[in-house]
Amino acid sequence: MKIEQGNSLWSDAWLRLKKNRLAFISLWTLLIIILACFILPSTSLVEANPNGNLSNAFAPPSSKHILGTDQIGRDLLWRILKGGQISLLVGLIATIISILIGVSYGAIAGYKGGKTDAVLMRIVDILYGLPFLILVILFSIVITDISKQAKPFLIEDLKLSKNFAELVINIIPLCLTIGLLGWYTMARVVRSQVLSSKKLEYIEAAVSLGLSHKNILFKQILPNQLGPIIVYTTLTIPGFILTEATLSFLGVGVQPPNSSWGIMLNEGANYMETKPLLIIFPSVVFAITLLALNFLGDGLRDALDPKASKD
Amino acid sequence: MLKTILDRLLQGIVVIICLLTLTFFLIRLVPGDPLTDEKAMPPQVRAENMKIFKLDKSQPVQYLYYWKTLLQGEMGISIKKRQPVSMIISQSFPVSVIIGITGMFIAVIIGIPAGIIAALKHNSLIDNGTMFLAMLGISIPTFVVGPILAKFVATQVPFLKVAGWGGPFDWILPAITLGLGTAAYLARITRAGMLDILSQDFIRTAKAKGADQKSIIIKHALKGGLVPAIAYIGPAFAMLITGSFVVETIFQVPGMGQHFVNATKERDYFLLQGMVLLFGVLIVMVNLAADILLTYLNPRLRS
Amino acid sequence: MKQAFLLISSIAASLCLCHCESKSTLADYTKEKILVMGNSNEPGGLDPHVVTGVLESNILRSMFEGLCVEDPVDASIHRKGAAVSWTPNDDFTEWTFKLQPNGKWSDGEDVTAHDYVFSYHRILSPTFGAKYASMLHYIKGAKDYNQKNNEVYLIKNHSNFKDRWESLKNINYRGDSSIDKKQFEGTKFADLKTNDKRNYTKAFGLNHLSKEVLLQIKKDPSLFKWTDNLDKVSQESILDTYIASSGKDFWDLANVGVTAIDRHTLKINLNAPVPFLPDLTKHYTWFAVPKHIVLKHGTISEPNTKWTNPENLVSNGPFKMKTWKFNYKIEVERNPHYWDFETVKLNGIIFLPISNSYTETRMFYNDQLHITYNLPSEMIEYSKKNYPQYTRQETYLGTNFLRFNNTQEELKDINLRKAIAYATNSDSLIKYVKKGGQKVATGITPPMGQYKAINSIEFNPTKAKEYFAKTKFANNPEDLKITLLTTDKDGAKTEAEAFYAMWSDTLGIKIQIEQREWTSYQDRMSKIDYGIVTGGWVGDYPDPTTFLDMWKKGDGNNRTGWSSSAYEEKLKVASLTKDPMQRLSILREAESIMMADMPIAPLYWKTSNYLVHKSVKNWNPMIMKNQPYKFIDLEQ
Repeated sequence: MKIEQGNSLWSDAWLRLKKNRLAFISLWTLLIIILACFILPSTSLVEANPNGNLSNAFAPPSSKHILGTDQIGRDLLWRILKGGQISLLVGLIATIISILIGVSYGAIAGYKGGKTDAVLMRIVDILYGLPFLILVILFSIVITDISKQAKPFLIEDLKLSKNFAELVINIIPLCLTIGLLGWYTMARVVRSQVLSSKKLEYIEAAVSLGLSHKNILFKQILPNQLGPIIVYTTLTIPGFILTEATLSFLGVGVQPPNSSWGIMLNEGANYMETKPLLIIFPSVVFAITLLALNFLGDGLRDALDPKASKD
Repeated sequence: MLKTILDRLLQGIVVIICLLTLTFFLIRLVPGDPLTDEKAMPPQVRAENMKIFKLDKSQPVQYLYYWKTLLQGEMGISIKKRQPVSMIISQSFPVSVIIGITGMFIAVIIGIPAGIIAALKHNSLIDNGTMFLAMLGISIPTFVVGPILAKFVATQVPFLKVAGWGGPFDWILPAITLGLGTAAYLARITRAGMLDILSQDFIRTAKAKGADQKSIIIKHALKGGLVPAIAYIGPAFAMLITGSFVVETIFQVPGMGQHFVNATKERDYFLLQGMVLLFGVLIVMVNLAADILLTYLNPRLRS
Repeated sequence: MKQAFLLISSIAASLCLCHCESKSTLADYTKEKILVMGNSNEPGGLDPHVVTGVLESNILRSMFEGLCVEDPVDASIHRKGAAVSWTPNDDFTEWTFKLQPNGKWSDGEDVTAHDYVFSYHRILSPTFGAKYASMLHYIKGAKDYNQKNNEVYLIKNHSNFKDRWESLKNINYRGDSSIDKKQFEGTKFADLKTNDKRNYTKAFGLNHLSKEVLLQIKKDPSLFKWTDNLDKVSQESILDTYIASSGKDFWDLANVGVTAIDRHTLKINLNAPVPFLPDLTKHYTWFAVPKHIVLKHGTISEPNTKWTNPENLVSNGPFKMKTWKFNYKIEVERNPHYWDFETVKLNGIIFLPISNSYTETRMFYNDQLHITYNLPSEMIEYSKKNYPQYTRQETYLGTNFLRFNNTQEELKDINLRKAIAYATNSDSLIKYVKKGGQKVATGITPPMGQYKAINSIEFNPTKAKEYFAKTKFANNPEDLKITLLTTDKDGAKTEAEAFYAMWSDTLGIKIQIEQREWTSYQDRMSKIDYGIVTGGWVGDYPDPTTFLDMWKKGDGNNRTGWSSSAYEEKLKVASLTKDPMQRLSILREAESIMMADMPIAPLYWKTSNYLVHKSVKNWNPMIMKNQPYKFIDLEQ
């Protein structure tokens, strides 16, 4: 029974989403960007020149280099697509980590209330107040050590290809760092939502019916809070993608010559006056992705809203 | 109510003590120390300097010394800048407060009305247009917005400077740069909160009864709908007031944000402790204020 | 909302009171003859004996004046500064400076030779901890006093031990530099295990042990490793001498070669010939500080006192302190007591700590600055095209180079070091990345004055491949795993990516770039924890030794693990050579010895790129960018 209910909820949602034109266009845009980032760079459609060519730096767009070249003569489109791989992965994984931690932490604090709530939220206050940079630098040291040991393991024992192993070693610590440092606000938001909804009549009814706390929290309260959670998630992703650049400059994550959107925006900003294409192209791709993500998120929110079906 | 506030203040003191302690030991785990420099010091000079700043003592002893200074009402001296930390903070804090409050003001007057209007006109062109702008505001980082404002706005408007600190006109661009991102966040969060409330039964009932729409919104929807926005404003406000490294360096604003970042980067132990102390106090105060406001807006939160 | 608004406006109003000053434009400043300069960052204090950087020097040179002063046009001429004349003896080991008869501090007190003796005593004082005290080690006795080589006063020259010096000279007085002293940081001596105690006393040596430790040794002499055939009585009497003198200032015994002959005559005795002493006196470490003011706020060996607070700071230069607002601005104004008041054209200078060089450039274009601190490489071409009359590109006394980790297994092989050095195309790095007209470096020392640079390296892919073929990675370049450590400043990342591409293209190796924030980068460099690292060096005075001395064994700035006794021998010979030309040619030989080993790969000799407004007069190119402010003028 339950499984069927679940199915119908999701299929209902899918139907509603399809009706929302903006959300549907966004979905397709996202898919195209993702596919482009992960497939195009390894095809011959994009000129791949990872070493660049100094004498061809800042070349304007041409048939060979569709978006022109960057400061050391690498194809800009190729760099954007390669950078997209990192940024999209980081955005996705770090967000999942931070949602998992933030939502369960905030939900427990809000639901339990009282002393538990006070202790949990004060811990968040402390974590929030710690200088971000210190934690990142410390993380980078620990992670460099671990990844040095992990690399042979990944290549020799798990038989991963060298490139993939390097990707994993670059991405995982980055996502962990961002995810582990980025859930505080989510926890606060969820807590305040849970706090206010646990006093609602139907929840009180559920309590009096003797449903387990786990059931009430995860089956009754949280599904009703999907809206704010989705919205807040779409809000954190851009921040996460940009944070990744800061972390890379500090030595966690993507090291040059690899790149990401955040790094390209940071570098491009220095050329704003002189070579504006270097900031415009990455910005446009970045903004389109985030807009699509946002409208898709809104569509999802509407589609998943159980109350909306009453309309 | 008073008891709750006192209780929270007490908790706040514990938070600040934990924060100072953690920072104290964590920053000493980070490689390098305040005497690390581009030009190396001879070992014996280094030893003397360690003595001068009591860094030759064991960490627990240093920690006790730190509390001794703190309880004497002082915050020590910045090792890199050779200035008392209290002086640095007393000169830069007012600057950050101005920019932070102005920025927050801009964020609130743009963000919250935009969010409310978008929610009321759900799925209309206005809604999508506002959210489009909001999302642009979030996805364009401050290090891009700042220079654009400096280059294209400041050079066109006679009383604005591209950077520099002087009269109140110089607050405008940094505050806008700081406020825009927050405004966009607020718009999105307010809209979501409002949509949530507007779809709830009691509003529907009121609507069905044919009450005047405006009064419903003000009376009921705002109270509940602003909950998430206010939960967000709390920490965001603390962030804005401690200043932003990027905005301060782009507009040459002598605020605190630079010290926070530089003190960490240069391992300026005592300056960092001072900054963390101030930030901790702000977080405690602002979160407390936000929670009180939330309880007031939402009677259901009262236990 | 209304309350919030009221709050904001009240705060705004109150801040307006303290911040609303006349909103001058650059033209107004020009008319008032106040120079507005970008100065990159807030200084690390304004005590000439404490600071170490270029930006601090920029401010200090406006307020203080050395014995000699730079000429605004010809760097080889020394102008009268706080001294009216300076006379060396035949072999440049004794110099006599006559001070300005009417030289005054900015509070009206006389500047006397005693101020100089006091100042040099202060900066050399071992407990003061001056980072740059070594700039004065040319002075006779200065090094021993500064480095606390107390056995010289307590044993060698002391009547009780003098005759027996030969048998006592091998005692461990100065400590063992090969033991890492950091392990003892943060622990009490008494809490150490016996073995660690012995290690501790060995590491520090008698001179650097505290009274408490000495007393413990007296109780248990085995805690210190004495020389083999030293009798107990001598041990006891040496210990007693040390304990009795613990914490004492040895200035009087040290006979440091600084003497005040009379109020206005200063004599300086040096260890060896120093023909470039007038150049040294222009450096802030050689400046005098006002004895009467410094002592009012603390003792001679106490750093970080309040004498440099803006309300207390007194100086002897063309300008004096006016306002100092942290991270906002430092303003100096004309010093009415300055002996050469008439020559000074400006009424004041404002130094702005603008850390973001793009912001600084925008401020200049928008008429808010007279002079910028630098011009970021991305903006150079643009600036040359749009503001050619303002854009300056001048030779600067500095070199950028790559350090190799000479202790790392792979890079111990000189062939690999040479292969990488020859595979590095500095010319295209300058042309396409740095863009500041830098010169390809062929040696570590840039050409200066009579010193011709050596010719040790060039970009040559064929040679690079030849050397690489001799390494064990010749057939499997992808097995070579070395890291290039870099940082997050000034386009360092783009530079690293360019190296990655060059070495990959020529040698087929794939290095791993590690980017770290500034302090971690410095920390790892000083621990020689890297493979290859980018770096640079700026000369402190226009003499090759400022680039060559740092490669001695154990020097904190060496950071490569390389050393050579032949090299150090040459440097020593040069330091004793009287004839300036001969001295330079010996230094050149020394540099050739070093570069034959290629412990580093020179990249380029620096230039200074910055913007100067056309209203600034007499701002001429200078190799150390130390334009004397008193000759600068502003005209509409």
